[in-house]
Amino acid sequence: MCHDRGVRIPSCGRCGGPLVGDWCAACSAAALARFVHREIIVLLLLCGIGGAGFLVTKAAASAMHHRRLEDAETWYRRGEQALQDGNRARAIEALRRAALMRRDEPAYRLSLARALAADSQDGLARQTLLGLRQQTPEAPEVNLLLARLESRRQDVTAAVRYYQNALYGSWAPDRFAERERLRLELVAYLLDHDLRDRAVAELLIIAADLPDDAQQRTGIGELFLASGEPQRALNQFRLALEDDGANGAALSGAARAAADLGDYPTTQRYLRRIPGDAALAPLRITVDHVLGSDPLAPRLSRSERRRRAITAATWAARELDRCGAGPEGQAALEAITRLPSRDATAAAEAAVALIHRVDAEAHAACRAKDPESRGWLIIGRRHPEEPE
Amino acid sequence: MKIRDTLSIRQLRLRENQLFLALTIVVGVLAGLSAALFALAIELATRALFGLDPTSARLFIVPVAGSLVAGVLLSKVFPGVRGSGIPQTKYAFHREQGQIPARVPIGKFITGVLCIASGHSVGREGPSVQIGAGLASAVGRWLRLSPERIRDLVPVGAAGALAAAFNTPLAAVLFALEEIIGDLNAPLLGSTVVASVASVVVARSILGNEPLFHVPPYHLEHPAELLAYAVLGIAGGIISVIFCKSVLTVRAGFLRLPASTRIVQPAIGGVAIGLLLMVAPEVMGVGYESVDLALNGGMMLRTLAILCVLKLLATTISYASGNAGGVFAPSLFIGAMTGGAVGMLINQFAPFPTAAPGAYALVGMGTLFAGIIRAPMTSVFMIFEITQDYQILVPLMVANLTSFVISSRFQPTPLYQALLQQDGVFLKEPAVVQAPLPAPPPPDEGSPPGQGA
Repeated sequence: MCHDRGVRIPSCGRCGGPLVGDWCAACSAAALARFVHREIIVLLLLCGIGGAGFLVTKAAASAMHHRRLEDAETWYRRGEQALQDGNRARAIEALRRAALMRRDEPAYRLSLARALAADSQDGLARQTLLGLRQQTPEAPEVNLLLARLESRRQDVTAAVRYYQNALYGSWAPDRFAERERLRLELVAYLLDHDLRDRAVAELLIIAADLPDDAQQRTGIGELFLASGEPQRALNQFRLALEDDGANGAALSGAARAAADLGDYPTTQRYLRRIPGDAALAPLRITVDHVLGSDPLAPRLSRSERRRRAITAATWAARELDRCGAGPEGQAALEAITRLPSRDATAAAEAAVALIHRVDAEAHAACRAKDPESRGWLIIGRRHPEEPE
Repeated sequence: MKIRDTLSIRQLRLRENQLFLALTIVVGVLAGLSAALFALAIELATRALFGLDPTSARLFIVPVAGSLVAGVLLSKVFPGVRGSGIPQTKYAFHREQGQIPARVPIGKFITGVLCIASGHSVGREGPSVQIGAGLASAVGRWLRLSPERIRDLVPVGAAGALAAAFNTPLAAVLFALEEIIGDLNAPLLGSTVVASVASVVVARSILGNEPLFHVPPYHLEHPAELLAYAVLGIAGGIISVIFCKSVLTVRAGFLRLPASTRIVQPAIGGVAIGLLLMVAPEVMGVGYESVDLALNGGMMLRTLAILCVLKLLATTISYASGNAGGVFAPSLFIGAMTGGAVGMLINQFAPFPTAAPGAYALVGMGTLFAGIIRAPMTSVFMIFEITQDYQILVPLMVANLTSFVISSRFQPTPLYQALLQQDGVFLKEPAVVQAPLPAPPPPDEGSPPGQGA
């Protein structure tokens, strides 16, 4: 019992404090304090458990990550080995696992795409590469593989686009030679698909950066020649010959380029420097024929001009007759033969006109393909028909 | 006196509100940690059990041995942790005032790791949800919260765990509201959001911010393509119905077996899974590698179709035989395969431009999820969060809604509810009703679900 100003106040049985009704302020405060105290301790404990759990989980995640990297590497090596051994199915399986385990490693997916492409699974290879391309759009290898897949699909536009992307991708400075090889592959592809202008554009880029190397210059010259650019080809062959004057391939190329340009004396000069090249024998015959049988060549004696005119007219009459282009050939030959020596120039002109008729009227499939016949036709073309 | 009394109760109540807010963060963190640790433990155990390149013998033996051990644990040590964990969580929320015994999350963790790592075709998300909810309930009890507050913590923990498991915070919140609480307008929205965010922050700081699947951006190529997605929705709906009916039928068969066989039932499933793994190891476990492959167009039509059928079969057996694991991951797997296959056919035959088959695989995941789990909002937002691509939203909604309608028509009771009903529990959300049990429960039933097969 407590006493306050003479009034008896009941006291709490537990703490002895004053009771208001059955409520003890001191006990309530103590209970509240205990509750609050406990809450804080439990929350702190939970935070501690959370912190410890975080560290444990982080350590486990790190260990698992390392294990995953190791496993991915193992699968990658197995896949590469299987690919080398020609076991494509196993290679694809292994590389697929490697790529799934390490999604951030483009090399794995690239290898997988290579394996798929090697196994003719072009669709899947393409999908893999397109996924990879989104991650690394500037990667030359990815674009190159896509270009090759598109070329297999005969999609020339897409293939050329990917080739260009590969060329203008991010190349390490020490991979210059590889890049130029790729450009050459593109040129070859463009030429295969008759895209000569674009091929020439690429060749000009290559030629501008080409080192003084006879072999490389010769290669570019050949490609210029195939692109229908004999003058540029001849320039490259000449540069190659400056570096190596006895380079047979460069001499051969220069001869052919000069022939394409119609410069037969130059052709003959180059051909004389490689007498043993059997592959050039037909060209040699043609060039010798062009230079030695032209009835309209300057500085010829009348008799020689007449002789050449009759030879040319004989060939032309025979060709017209053989190809069924009409009986006028023989009549023209006879007329040329009847002309006197003083009219040798007229005979030569008539003979060349007869050659023009062969060129115009004899069906291409019928014309003789021997080097000499080719020579006659070239002679005809060197003296264009006068418009009537 | 009354004024003082009222004052201190108000103070206490205020304190409990403040405490609840702090707890949602703590529970979110713990749920996120548990989900991350669970996923890591499964990966580590799978690697340890199967090695890098398992032989056929190992592919058969591991599931059988794992299921034998799991059977003993599930019957003798941790009853109540079989199956997915989501029906059990719903049961705890609606019927048990959120009371989940502390041994449940522990048991679910151990048996879940064992079953999934030993090759069973079940998912880790359902168990993660139960573990998260169980931890939340245990924390609430430890702090002597009021029964209402403990109950409220259950969906908070579930949302936190799911957010970490899928790296999809928004979908996790929707799932907790849509599936666990059964009310999208529930007042727990704020708490689940806080827990979900806390959980995702923790999980990302541990596992990195890698999305669950790496998906290239897909777009609707032509307005008519929406029809193609509707066709995918129909296919997804039909397969969802087949899946639900298969699981329920086979599970009912296992439940009819004598109670004494419960201990070996998981092993029966283990034998079947072992045989299946020897044929198609891709159906092992959660199978997200194969899903990733399908999403990126890395599979042929034949492979997609075969894996769809085999995964359906494997999951039915694994789940119905009473192993611990969920149906989230399998539904995504089957959906991806279905979508990929349908996408390839549409690609081949559609007279209008169409997206790559990977886009259909992605939407297919959502359609199966909508059809099986029957949570259409969650399915849409989950796929949206996974892809972070707004363009896929409209096709996704069309396909998911179609699948949802078909599934609802032919399988009116959603899978989780039907599973609870097989265990003799009848929930009518949001209110809980006790319905008369259709059949006398087996000796160890009539108790919380998850103790049956």
